[in-house]
Amino acid sequence: MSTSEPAFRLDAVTVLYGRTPAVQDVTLDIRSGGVTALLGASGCGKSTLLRSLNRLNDLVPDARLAGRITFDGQDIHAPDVDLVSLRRRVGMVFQRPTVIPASIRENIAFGPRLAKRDVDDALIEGALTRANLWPEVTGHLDDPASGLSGGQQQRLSIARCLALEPEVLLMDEPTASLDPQATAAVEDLIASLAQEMTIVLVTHSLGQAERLADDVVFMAAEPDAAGERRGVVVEHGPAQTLFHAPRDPRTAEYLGRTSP
Amino acid sequence: MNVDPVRTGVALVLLFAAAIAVMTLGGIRHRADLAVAAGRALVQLIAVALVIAWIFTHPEGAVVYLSIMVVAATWTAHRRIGGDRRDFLALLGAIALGAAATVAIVSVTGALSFTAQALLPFSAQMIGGAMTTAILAGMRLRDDVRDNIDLFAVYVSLGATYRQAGQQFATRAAQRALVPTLDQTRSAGLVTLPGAFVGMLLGGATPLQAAQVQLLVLIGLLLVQSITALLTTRWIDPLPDDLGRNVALPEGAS
Ligand SMILES: Nc1ncnc2c1ncn2[C@@H]1O[C@H](COP(=O)(O)OP(=O)(O)O)[C@@H](O)[C@H]1O
Ligand SMILES: [Mg+2]
Repeated sequence: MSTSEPAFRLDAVTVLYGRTPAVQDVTLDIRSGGVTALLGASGCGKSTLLRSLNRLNDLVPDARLAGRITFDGQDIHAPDVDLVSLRRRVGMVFQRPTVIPASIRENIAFGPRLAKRDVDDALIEGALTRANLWPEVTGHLDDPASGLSGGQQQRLSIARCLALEPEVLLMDEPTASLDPQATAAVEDLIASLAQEMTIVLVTHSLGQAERLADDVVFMAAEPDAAGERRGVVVEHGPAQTLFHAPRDPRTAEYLGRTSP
Repeated sequence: MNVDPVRTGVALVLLFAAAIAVMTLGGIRHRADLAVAAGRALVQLIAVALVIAWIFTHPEGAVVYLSIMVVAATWTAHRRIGGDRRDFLALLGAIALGAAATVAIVSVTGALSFTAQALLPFSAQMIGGAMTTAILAGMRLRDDVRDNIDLFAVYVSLGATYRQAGQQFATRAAQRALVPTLDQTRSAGLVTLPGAFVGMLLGGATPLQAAQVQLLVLIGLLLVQSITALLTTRWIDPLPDDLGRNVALPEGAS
Protein backbone atom coordinates (compact mmCIF):
# COMPACT_ATOMS: atom_id res chain seq x y z
CA MET A 1 0.00 0.00 0.00
CA SER A 2 1.32 3.45 -0.76
CA THR A 3 2.22 5.37 2.37
CA SER A 4 0.52 8.58 1.35
CA GLU A 5 -2.90 6.93 1.05
CA PRO A 6 -4.77 6.32 4.30
CA ALA A 7 -4.81 2.72 5.53
CA PHE A 8 -8.54 2.81 6.30
CA ARG A 9 -11.27 5.17 5.17
CA LEU A 10 -14.48 5.15 7.17
CA ASP A 11 -17.53 6.72 5.61
CA ALA A 12 -20.67 7.27 7.69
CA VAL A 13 -20.01 4.13 9.74
CA THR A 14 -22.70 3.19 12.24
CA VAL A 15 -22.47 -0.03 14.22
CA LEU A 16 -25.55 -1.37 15.98
CA TYR A 17 -25.99 -4.12 18.53
CA GLY A 18 -29.56 -5.14 17.86
CA ARG A 19 -31.32 -1.80 17.49
CA THR A 20 -28.92 0.16 19.68
CA PRO A 21 -26.19 2.07 17.91
CA ALA A 22 -22.84 1.71 19.72
CA VAL A 23 -21.01 3.90 17.24
CA GLN A 24 -22.79 6.52 15.18
CA ASP A 25 -21.94 8.09 11.86
CA VAL A 26 -18.15 7.96 11.93
CA THR A 27 -16.35 9.40 8.95
CA LEU A 28 -12.57 9.55 9.09
CA ASP A 29 -9.33 8.38 7.52
CA ILE A 30 -6.81 6.33 9.48
CA ARG A 31 -3.25 7.09 8.47
CA SER A 32 -0.94 4.53 7.03
CA GLY A 33 2.05 3.96 9.30
CA GLY A 34 2.51 5.17 12.85
CA VAL A 35 0.10 4.91 15.74
CA THR A 36 -3.48 6.10 15.61
CA ALA A 37 -4.99 6.04 19.09
CA LEU A 38 -8.72 5.61 19.64
CA LEU A 39 -9.09 7.45 22.92
CA GLY A 40 -12.12 7.88 25.13
CA ALA A 41 -13.94 6.80 28.25
CA SER A 42 -15.15 3.24 28.72
CA GLY A 43 -18.27 2.40 26.70
CA CYS A 44 -17.85 5.02 23.98
CA GLY A 45 -17.46 2.43 21.24
CA LYS A 46 -13.69 2.18 20.79
CA SER A 47 -13.58 -1.61 20.74
CA THR A 48 -16.62 -1.73 18.51
CA LEU A 49 -14.99 0.58 15.99
CA LEU A 50 -11.71 -1.34 16.17
CA ARG A 51 -13.36 -4.73 15.62
CA SER A 52 -15.10 -3.30 12.58
CA LEU A 53 -11.74 -2.78 10.87
CA ASN A 54 -11.01 -6.52 10.49
CA ARG A 55 -14.69 -7.50 10.59
CA LEU A 56 -14.35 -9.34 13.86
CA ASN A 57 -17.69 -7.83 14.87
CA ASP A 58 -19.11 -10.43 12.52
CA LEU A 59 -18.78 -12.81 15.48
CA VAL A 60 -20.84 -10.66 17.82
CA PRO A 61 -24.50 -11.65 17.97
CA ASP A 62 -26.76 -9.04 16.38
CA ALA A 63 -23.94 -6.68 15.47
CA ARG A 64 -24.64 -4.86 12.21
CA LEU A 65 -22.85 -2.15 10.35
CA ALA A 66 -24.04 0.59 8.06
CA GLY A 67 -21.77 2.79 5.99
CA ARG A 68 -18.55 1.96 4.26
CA ILE A 69 -15.06 0.98 5.35
CA THR A 70 -12.24 0.64 2.88
CA PHE A 71 -8.86 -0.90 3.60
CA ASP A 72 -6.11 -0.28 1.07
CA GLY A 73 -8.76 1.07 -1.26
CA GLN A 74 -11.04 -1.99 -1.04
CA ASP A 75 -14.51 -2.04 0.47
CA ILE A 76 -14.19 -4.62 3.26
CA HIS A 77 -17.91 -5.39 3.08
CA ALA A 78 -17.93 -6.05 -0.65
CA PRO A 79 -19.52 -9.44 -1.37
CA ASP A 80 -16.33 -10.77 -2.94
CA VAL A 81 -14.03 -9.65 -0.12
CA ASP A 82 -11.62 -12.30 1.12
CA LEU A 83 -12.08 -12.13 4.88
CA VAL A 84 -9.23 -14.52 5.61
CA SER A 85 -6.81 -12.37 3.65
CA LEU A 86 -8.16 -9.21 5.31
CA ARG A 87 -7.55 -10.71 8.74
CA ARG A 88 -4.05 -11.81 7.82
CA ARG A 89 -3.19 -8.33 6.62
CA VAL A 90 -4.90 -6.67 9.59
CA GLY A 91 -3.79 -8.44 12.77
CA MET A 92 -5.47 -8.07 16.14
CA VAL A 93 -4.25 -8.04 19.71
CA PHE A 94 -6.94 -8.40 22.32
CA GLN A 95 -7.45 -6.71 25.65
CA ARG A 96 -7.07 -9.89 27.66
CA PRO A 97 -4.02 -11.89 26.62
CA THR A 98 -5.46 -15.06 25.09
CA VAL A 99 -2.91 -17.70 24.19
CA ILE A 100 -3.67 -20.74 22.13
CA PRO A 101 -3.66 -23.72 24.55
CA ALA A 102 -0.45 -25.18 23.12
CA SER A 103 3.26 -24.48 23.11
CA ILE A 104 4.88 -21.13 22.50
CA ARG A 105 6.05 -22.42 19.13
CA GLU A 106 2.54 -23.54 18.19
CA ASN A 107 1.18 -20.11 19.00
CA ILE A 108 3.52 -18.54 16.46
CA ALA A 109 3.09 -21.30 13.90
CA PHE A 110 -0.71 -21.29 13.87
CA GLY A 111 -1.29 -18.42 11.43
CA PRO A 112 1.54 -19.12 8.97
CA ARG A 113 0.67 -22.81 8.85
CA LEU A 114 -2.95 -22.06 7.93
CA ALA A 115 -1.62 -19.67 5.30
CA LYS A 116 0.43 -22.62 3.94
CA ARG A 117 3.66 -20.79 4.56
CA ASP A 118 6.86 -22.52 5.61
CA VAL A 119 7.14 -22.66 9.36
CA ASP A 120 10.81 -23.00 10.27
CA ASP A 121 12.88 -22.00 13.27
CA ALA A 122 13.85 -18.75 11.57
CA LEU A 123 10.23 -17.69 11.32
CA ILE A 124 9.57 -18.53 14.99
CA GLU A 125 12.71 -16.75 16.14
CA GLY A 126 12.05 -13.78 13.87
CA ALA A 127 8.53 -13.19 15.18
CA LEU A 128 9.57 -13.58 18.81
CA THR A 129 12.53 -11.27 18.28
CA ARG A 130 10.39 -8.56 16.71
CA ALA A 131 8.05 -8.85 19.69
CA ASN A 132 10.96 -8.42 22.14
CA LEU A 133 10.23 -11.82 23.62
CA TRP A 134 13.00 -13.97 22.19
CA PRO A 135 15.57 -13.62 25.01
CA GLU A 136 12.95 -14.64 27.58
CA VAL A 137 11.73 -17.78 25.81
CA THR A 138 14.79 -19.22 24.04
CA GLY A 139 15.10 -22.85 24.99
CA HIS A 140 11.46 -22.96 26.13
CA LEU A 141 9.70 -22.90 22.76
CA ASP A 142 7.96 -26.17 23.43
CA ASP A 143 6.70 -25.18 26.85
CA PRO A 144 3.00 -24.41 27.18
CA ALA A 145 2.28 -20.76 26.42
CA SER A 146 -0.07 -20.62 29.38
CA GLY A 147 2.97 -20.74 31.67
CA LEU A 148 4.11 -17.27 30.57
CA SER A 149 3.35 -14.16 32.61
CA GLY A 150 0.56 -11.85 31.46
CA GLY A 151 2.99 -9.40 29.91
CA GLN A 152 4.83 -12.19 28.11
CA GLN A 153 1.54 -13.64 26.90
CA GLN A 154 0.60 -10.27 25.46
CA ARG A 155 3.92 -10.00 23.64
CA LEU A 156 3.41 -13.57 22.43
CA SER A 157 0.02 -12.47 21.07
CA ILE A 158 1.80 -9.71 19.20
CA ALA A 159 4.50 -12.09 17.94
CA ARG A 160 1.77 -14.46 16.75
CA CYS A 161 0.34 -11.66 14.61
CA LEU A 162 3.76 -10.56 13.37
CA ALA A 163 4.46 -14.07 12.08
CA LEU A 164 1.86 -13.32 9.40
CA GLU A 165 3.67 -10.11 8.40
CA PRO A 166 0.54 -7.98 8.69
CA GLU A 167 0.40 -4.43 7.40
CA VAL A 168 -1.75 -3.29 10.30
CA LEU A 169 -2.01 -4.23 13.96
CA LEU A 170 -5.25 -3.48 15.77
CA MET A 171 -4.66 -3.37 19.50
CA ASP A 172 -7.51 -3.22 21.99
CA GLU A 173 -6.20 -1.81 25.28
CA PRO A 174 -3.26 -4.23 25.09
CA THR A 175 -1.87 -3.15 28.45
CA ALA A 176 -5.13 -2.92 30.39
CA SER A 177 -4.48 -6.12 32.31
CA LEU A 178 -0.72 -5.67 32.76
CA ASP A 179 1.40 -4.31 35.60
CA PRO A 180 3.44 -1.12 35.03
CA GLN A 181 6.62 -2.96 34.11
CA ALA A 182 4.91 -5.21 31.58
CA THR A 183 3.03 -2.17 30.27
CA ALA A 184 6.30 -0.36 29.65
CA ALA A 185 7.66 -3.35 27.74
CA VAL A 186 4.57 -3.53 25.53
CA GLU A 187 4.59 0.24 24.97
CA ASP A 188 8.24 0.12 23.87
CA LEU A 189 7.32 -2.64 21.48
CA ILE A 190 4.41 -0.66 20.04
CA ALA A 191 6.66 2.36 19.50
CA SER A 192 9.23 0.30 17.61
CA LEU A 193 6.65 -1.58 15.52
CA ALA A 194 5.06 1.72 14.51
CA GLN A 195 8.23 2.50 12.55
CA GLU A 196 7.36 -0.22 10.06
CA MET A 197 3.62 -0.73 10.16
CA THR A 198 0.24 0.83 10.86
CA ILE A 199 -1.02 0.51 14.41
CA VAL A 200 -4.50 1.34 15.61
CA LEU A 201 -4.43 1.40 19.38
CA VAL A 202 -7.50 1.56 21.59
CA THR A 203 -6.77 3.11 24.94
CA HIS A 204 -8.56 4.95 27.68
CA SER A 205 -5.23 6.06 29.09
CA LEU A 206 -4.38 9.61 28.25
CA GLY A 207 -0.77 9.04 29.21
CA GLN A 208 -0.46 6.08 26.85
CA ALA A 209 -1.97 8.04 23.98
CA GLU A 210 0.42 10.91 24.68
CA ARG A 211 3.40 8.58 24.79
CA LEU A 212 2.57 6.61 21.66
CA ALA A 213 0.10 8.27 19.33
CA ASP A 214 0.86 10.10 16.13
CA ASP A 215 -2.84 10.67 15.45
CA VAL A 216 -5.64 10.63 17.97
CA VAL A 217 -9.32 9.88 17.43
CA PHE A 218 -11.13 11.17 20.47
CA MET A 219 -14.47 9.46 21.09
CA ALA A 220 -17.29 10.05 23.55
CA ALA A 221 -20.67 8.55 24.36
CA GLU A 222 -23.32 11.16 23.66
CA PRO A 223 -27.02 10.92 24.37
CA ASP A 224 -29.10 11.28 21.22
CA ALA A 225 -32.54 12.95 20.98
CA ALA A 226 -34.16 9.89 22.56
CA GLY A 227 -31.59 9.92 25.37
CA GLU A 228 -29.82 6.79 24.15
CA ARG A 229 -26.06 6.88 24.42
CA ARG A 230 -24.03 6.09 21.34
CA GLY A 231 -20.35 6.60 20.58
CA VAL A 232 -19.33 9.45 18.33
CA VAL A 233 -16.02 10.83 17.18
CA VAL A 234 -15.55 14.19 18.80
CA GLU A 235 -12.24 15.16 17.30
CA HIS A 236 -9.58 13.58 15.16
CA GLY A 237 -6.15 14.87 14.26
CA PRO A 238 -2.44 14.85 14.94
CA ALA A 239 -1.63 14.11 18.57
CA GLN A 240 0.23 17.40 18.98
CA THR A 241 -2.78 19.44 17.92
CA LEU A 242 -5.33 17.41 19.81
CA PHE A 243 -3.42 17.43 23.07
CA HIS A 244 -2.17 21.00 22.99
CA ALA A 245 -4.82 22.85 21.06
CA PRO A 246 -8.06 20.83 21.16
CA ARG A 247 -10.79 22.34 19.01
CA ASP A 248 -13.72 20.78 20.79
CA PRO A 249 -14.63 21.74 24.36
CA ARG A 250 -15.45 18.08 25.11
CA THR A 251 -11.89 17.11 24.26
CA ALA A 252 -10.53 19.91 26.38
CA GLU A 253 -12.69 18.80 29.27
CA TYR A 254 -11.45 15.22 28.95
CA LEU A 255 -7.88 16.46 28.85
CA GLY A 256 -8.56 18.52 31.92
CA ARG A 257 -7.44 21.62 30.14
CA THR A 258 -9.35 24.67 29.03
CA SER A 259 -9.75 25.03 25.33
CA PRO A 260 -8.06 28.07 23.83
CA MET B 1 -39.19 -69.02 22.93
CA ASN B 2 -42.94 -69.03 23.39
CA VAL B 3 -44.66 -65.72 23.90
CA ASP B 4 -48.36 -66.07 24.51
CA PRO B 5 -50.19 -62.90 23.41
CA VAL B 6 -52.98 -63.31 25.95
CA ARG B 7 -50.68 -63.79 28.91
CA THR B 8 -48.48 -60.95 27.68
CA GLY B 9 -51.54 -58.71 27.46
CA VAL B 10 -52.60 -59.60 30.99
CA ALA B 11 -49.10 -58.91 32.31
CA LEU B 12 -48.92 -55.57 30.47
CA VAL B 13 -52.24 -54.42 31.89
CA LEU B 14 -51.12 -55.41 35.39
CA LEU B 15 -47.74 -53.70 35.03
CA PHE B 16 -49.35 -50.55 33.72
CA ALA B 17 -52.05 -50.48 36.38
CA ALA B 18 -49.46 -51.05 39.10
CA ALA B 19 -47.31 -48.20 37.77
CA ILE B 20 -50.32 -45.88 37.74
CA ALA B 21 -51.27 -46.99 41.25
CA VAL B 22 -47.76 -46.39 42.57
CA MET B 23 -47.65 -42.96 40.99
CA THR B 24 -51.07 -42.06 42.37
CA LEU B 25 -50.21 -43.25 45.86
CA GLY B 26 -46.89 -41.44 45.75
CA GLY B 27 -48.56 -38.25 44.60
CA ILE B 28 -46.49 -38.17 41.42
CA ARG B 29 -48.26 -36.39 38.60
CA HIS B 30 -47.59 -37.14 34.92
CA ARG B 31 -50.02 -40.04 34.91
CA ALA B 32 -51.25 -38.79 31.56
CA ASP B 33 -47.67 -38.79 30.29
CA LEU B 34 -47.28 -42.37 31.38
CA ALA B 35 -50.39 -43.38 29.50
CA VAL B 36 -49.26 -41.56 26.38
CA ALA B 37 -45.76 -43.02 26.60
CA ALA B 38 -47.07 -46.53 27.09
CA GLY B 39 -49.58 -46.10 24.27
CA ARG B 40 -46.91 -44.85 21.92
CA ALA B 41 -44.58 -47.70 22.80
CA LEU B 42 -47.40 -50.17 22.15
CA VAL B 43 -48.32 -48.78 18.74
CA GLN B 44 -44.71 -48.18 17.62
CA LEU B 45 -43.42 -51.59 18.64
CA ILE B 46 -46.29 -53.46 17.03
CA ALA B 47 -45.88 -51.42 13.85
CA VAL B 48 -42.13 -52.04 13.82
CA ALA B 49 -42.71 -55.73 14.49
CA LEU B 50 -45.04 -55.95 11.51
CA VAL B 51 -42.60 -54.09 9.26
CA ILE B 52 -39.66 -56.22 10.35
CA ALA B 53 -41.68 -59.39 9.99
CA TRP B 54 -42.39 -58.34 6.42
CA ILE B 55 -38.70 -57.58 5.83
CA PHE B 56 -37.67 -61.00 7.11
CA THR B 57 -39.64 -62.48 4.23
CA HIS B 58 -38.54 -59.74 1.77
CA PRO B 59 -34.86 -59.06 2.68
CA GLU B 60 -34.42 -56.43 -0.05
CA GLY B 61 -36.77 -54.26 2.04
CA ALA B 62 -34.04 -54.06 4.69
CA VAL B 63 -32.10 -51.56 2.60
CA VAL B 64 -35.12 -49.28 2.40
CA TYR B 65 -35.86 -49.69 6.07
CA LEU B 66 -32.28 -48.87 7.14
CA SER B 67 -32.14 -45.91 4.77
CA ILE B 68 -35.27 -44.49 6.30
CA MET B 69 -33.77 -45.04 9.74
CA VAL B 70 -30.60 -43.18 8.80
CA VAL B 71 -32.58 -40.25 7.45
CA ALA B 72 -34.84 -40.20 10.51
CA ALA B 73 -31.78 -40.31 12.81
CA THR B 74 -30.18 -37.47 10.85
CA TRP B 75 -33.37 -35.47 10.95
CA THR B 76 -33.63 -35.89 14.73
CA ALA B 77 -29.99 -34.95 15.29
CA HIS B 78 -30.30 -31.95 12.99
CA ARG B 79 -33.38 -30.73 14.81
CA ARG B 80 -31.58 -31.00 18.14
CA ILE B 81 -28.35 -29.35 17.05
CA GLY B 82 -29.78 -26.84 14.60
CA GLY B 83 -28.18 -25.60 11.43
CA ASP B 84 -28.68 -25.39 7.72
CA ARG B 85 -28.90 -27.84 4.85
CA ARG B 86 -25.14 -28.27 4.78
CA ASP B 87 -25.21 -29.31 8.44
CA PHE B 88 -27.91 -31.84 7.59
CA LEU B 89 -25.69 -33.39 4.94
CA ALA B 90 -22.75 -33.37 7.36
CA LEU B 91 -24.80 -35.27 9.95
CA LEU B 92 -26.14 -37.63 7.33
CA GLY B 93 -22.59 -38.48 6.26
CA ALA B 94 -21.32 -38.81 9.82
CA ILE B 95 -24.15 -41.11 10.90
CA ALA B 96 -24.26 -43.21 7.73
CA LEU B 97 -20.49 -43.71 7.46
CA GLY B 98 -20.13 -44.64 11.13
CA ALA B 99 -22.91 -47.21 10.95
CA ALA B 100 -21.84 -48.55 7.55
CA ALA B 101 -18.23 -49.13 8.60
CA THR B 102 -19.30 -51.14 11.62
CA VAL B 103 -21.92 -53.21 9.87
CA ALA B 104 -19.42 -53.93 7.11
CA ILE B 105 -16.92 -55.39 9.58
CA VAL B 106 -19.38 -57.66 11.39
CA SER B 107 -20.87 -58.96 8.17
CA VAL B 108 -17.62 -59.41 6.22
CA THR B 109 -16.10 -61.36 9.09
CA GLY B 110 -19.24 -63.44 9.28
CA ALA B 111 -19.59 -62.64 12.99
CA LEU B 112 -23.23 -62.03 12.20
CA SER B 113 -24.78 -64.00 9.38
CA PHE B 114 -25.61 -62.05 6.25
CA THR B 115 -29.33 -62.19 6.86
CA ALA B 116 -31.95 -59.62 7.63
CA GLN B 117 -32.63 -61.39 10.92
CA ALA B 118 -29.09 -60.72 12.13
CA LEU B 119 -28.07 -57.52 10.38
CA LEU B 120 -31.26 -55.50 10.63
CA PRO B 121 -31.44 -55.25 14.42
CA PHE B 122 -27.67 -54.83 14.65
CA SER B 123 -27.65 -52.03 12.08
CA ALA B 124 -30.59 -50.35 13.72
CA GLN B 125 -28.74 -50.27 16.99
CA MET B 126 -25.63 -48.85 15.35
CA ILE B 127 -27.67 -46.12 13.68
CA GLY B 128 -29.30 -45.25 17.00
CA GLY B 129 -25.90 -45.07 18.66
CA ALA B 130 -24.57 -42.89 15.86
CA MET B 131 -27.48 -40.50 16.29
CA THR B 132 -26.95 -40.15 20.02
CA THR B 133 -23.28 -39.41 19.50
CA ALA B 134 -23.86 -36.97 16.66
CA ILE B 135 -26.19 -34.99 18.91
CA LEU B 136 -23.76 -35.04 21.84
CA ALA B 137 -20.74 -34.19 19.73
CA GLY B 138 -22.49 -31.41 17.85
CA MET B 139 -23.88 -29.82 20.99
CA ARG B 140 -20.54 -30.11 22.79
CA LEU B 141 -18.72 -28.49 19.90
CA ARG B 142 -21.06 -25.52 19.76
CA ASP B 143 -21.12 -25.15 23.55
CA ASP B 144 -17.32 -25.17 23.62
CA VAL B 145 -17.16 -22.53 20.90
CA ARG B 146 -19.71 -20.39 22.71
CA ASP B 147 -17.86 -20.73 26.02
CA ASN B 148 -14.51 -19.95 24.41
CA ILE B 149 -15.53 -17.33 21.93
CA ASP B 150 -12.48 -15.22 22.84
CA LEU B 151 -10.18 -18.02 21.76
CA PHE B 152 -12.32 -18.64 18.69
CA ALA B 153 -11.90 -14.94 17.83
CA VAL B 154 -8.12 -15.32 18.21
CA TYR B 155 -8.10 -18.14 15.66
CA VAL B 156 -10.29 -16.16 13.29
CA SER B 157 -8.13 -13.06 13.68
CA LEU B 158 -5.12 -15.17 12.68
CA GLY B 159 -6.72 -16.01 9.36
CA ALA B 160 -8.70 -19.14 10.24
CA THR B 161 -12.06 -19.62 8.58
CA TYR B 162 -14.90 -20.29 11.00
CA ARG B 163 -14.59 -23.95 10.16
CA GLN B 164 -10.84 -24.02 10.71
CA ALA B 165 -11.30 -22.20 14.01
CA GLY B 166 -13.96 -24.76 14.93
CA GLN B 167 -11.52 -27.59 14.15
CA GLN B 168 -9.42 -26.47 17.07
CA PHE B 169 -12.29 -27.44 19.37
CA ALA B 170 -13.36 -30.55 17.45
CA THR B 171 -11.16 -33.25 18.92
CA ARG B 172 -11.97 -32.36 22.49
CA ALA B 173 -15.69 -32.18 21.77
CA ALA B 174 -15.57 -35.56 20.01
CA GLN B 175 -13.64 -37.05 22.90
CA ARG B 176 -16.17 -35.82 25.43
CA ALA B 177 -19.05 -37.12 23.34
CA LEU B 178 -17.62 -40.64 23.69
CA VAL B 179 -17.58 -40.61 27.48
CA PRO B 180 -21.08 -42.06 28.02
CA THR B 181 -20.36 -44.97 25.67
CA LEU B 182 -17.04 -45.69 27.30
CA ASP B 183 -18.76 -45.70 30.69
CA GLN B 184 -21.45 -47.99 29.40
CA THR B 185 -18.90 -50.37 27.91
CA ARG B 186 -16.80 -50.39 31.04
CA SER B 187 -19.74 -51.18 33.30
CA ALA B 188 -21.42 -53.70 30.98
CA GLY B 189 -22.65 -56.67 32.98
CA LEU B 190 -21.83 -55.07 36.31
CA VAL B 191 -24.26 -52.24 36.78
CA THR B 192 -26.81 -53.30 34.18
CA LEU B 193 -27.43 -56.20 31.87
CA PRO B 194 -27.37 -54.57 28.46
CA GLY B 195 -30.32 -54.86 26.09
CA ALA B 196 -29.00 -57.29 23.51
CA PHE B 197 -27.81 -59.64 26.26
CA VAL B 198 -31.20 -59.64 27.96
CA GLY B 199 -32.98 -60.07 24.63
CA MET B 200 -30.83 -63.03 23.65
CA LEU B 201 -31.40 -64.75 26.98
CA LEU B 202 -35.14 -64.18 26.76
CA GLY B 203 -34.98 -65.53 23.23
CA GLY B 204 -33.45 -68.76 24.49
CA ALA B 205 -29.78 -68.27 23.61
CA THR B 206 -27.06 -69.50 25.93
CA PRO B 207 -25.40 -66.90 28.15
CA LEU B 208 -22.16 -67.23 26.17
CA GLN B 209 -23.94 -66.62 22.89
CA ALA B 210 -25.67 -63.65 24.45
CA ALA B 211 -22.31 -62.30 25.63
CA GLN B 212 -20.81 -62.63 22.15
CA VAL B 213 -23.58 -60.66 20.51
CA GLN B 214 -23.54 -58.09 23.26
CA LEU B 215 -19.81 -57.63 22.73
CA LEU B 216 -20.34 -57.12 19.02
CA VAL B 217 -22.89 -54.45 19.88
CA LEU B 218 -20.75 -52.69 22.50
CA ILE B 219 -17.50 -52.69 20.55
CA GLY B 220 -19.44 -51.92 17.40
CA LEU B 221 -20.91 -48.89 19.16
CA LEU B 222 -17.41 -47.74 20.10
CA LEU B 223 -16.42 -47.75 16.45
CA VAL B 224 -19.64 -46.17 15.19
CA GLN B 225 -19.48 -43.48 17.77
CA SER B 226 -15.79 -42.70 17.27
CA ILE B 227 -16.36 -42.26 13.56
CA THR B 228 -19.58 -40.30 13.95
CA ALA B 229 -18.19 -38.04 16.68
CA LEU B 230 -15.06 -37.21 14.71
CA LEU B 231 -16.91 -36.58 11.46
CA THR B 232 -19.68 -34.58 13.11
CA THR B 233 -17.31 -32.23 14.88
CA ARG B 234 -15.29 -31.75 11.71
CA TRP B 235 -18.14 -31.35 9.28
CA ILE B 236 -20.82 -29.29 10.99
CA ASP B 237 -20.68 -25.52 11.20
CA PRO B 238 -19.01 -24.84 14.56
CA LEU B 239 -20.78 -21.53 15.19
CA PRO B 240 -23.94 -21.75 17.27
CA ASP B 241 -26.95 -20.28 15.50
CA ASP B 242 -27.20 -17.31 17.82
CA LEU B 243 -23.66 -16.18 17.14
CA GLY B 244 -23.15 -13.63 14.45
CA ARG B 245 -22.01 -14.05 10.91
CA ASN B 246 -23.61 -10.81 9.99
CA VAL B 247 -23.39 -8.83 6.83
CA ALA B 248 -23.43 -5.10 6.38
CA LEU B 249 -26.78 -3.37 6.35
CA PRO B 250 -27.93 -2.18 2.97
CA GLU B 251 -26.87 1.37 2.08
CA GLY B 252 -28.77 3.97 3.99
CA ALA B 253 -30.46 1.62 6.46
CA SER B 254 -29.91 2.25 10.13
N1 LIG C 1 -21.39 -7.73 22.20
C1 LIG C 1 -22.14 -6.66 22.50
N2 LIG C 1 -23.49 -6.75 22.51
C2 LIG C 1 -24.26 -5.69 22.82
N3 LIG C 1 -23.78 -4.49 23.16
C3 LIG C 1 -22.45 -4.32 23.18
C4 LIG C 1 -21.55 -5.40 22.85
N4 LIG C 1 -20.28 -4.96 22.96
C5 LIG C 1 -20.38 -3.66 23.33
N5 LIG C 1 -21.68 -3.28 23.46
C6 LIG C 1 -22.15 -1.93 23.84
O1 LIG C 1 -21.67 -1.02 22.90
C7 LIG C 1 -21.18 0.14 23.54
C8 LIG C 1 -19.74 0.37 23.16
O2 LIG C 1 -18.96 -0.69 23.70
P1 LIG C 1 -17.42 -0.84 23.38
O3 LIG C 1 -17.22 -0.78 21.92
O4 LIG C 1 -16.96 -2.07 24.07
O5 LIG C 1 -16.81 0.47 24.05
P2 LIG C 1 -15.35 0.73 24.62
O6 LIG C 1 -14.40 -0.21 23.98
O7 LIG C 1 -15.09 2.18 24.25
O8 LIG C 1 -15.42 0.57 26.10
C9 LIG C 1 -21.40 -0.04 25.03
O9 LIG C 1 -22.59 0.60 25.37
C10 LIG C 1 -21.54 -1.53 25.17
O10 LIG C 1 -22.42 -1.83 26.23
MG1 LIG D 1 -13.21 -1.70 24.90
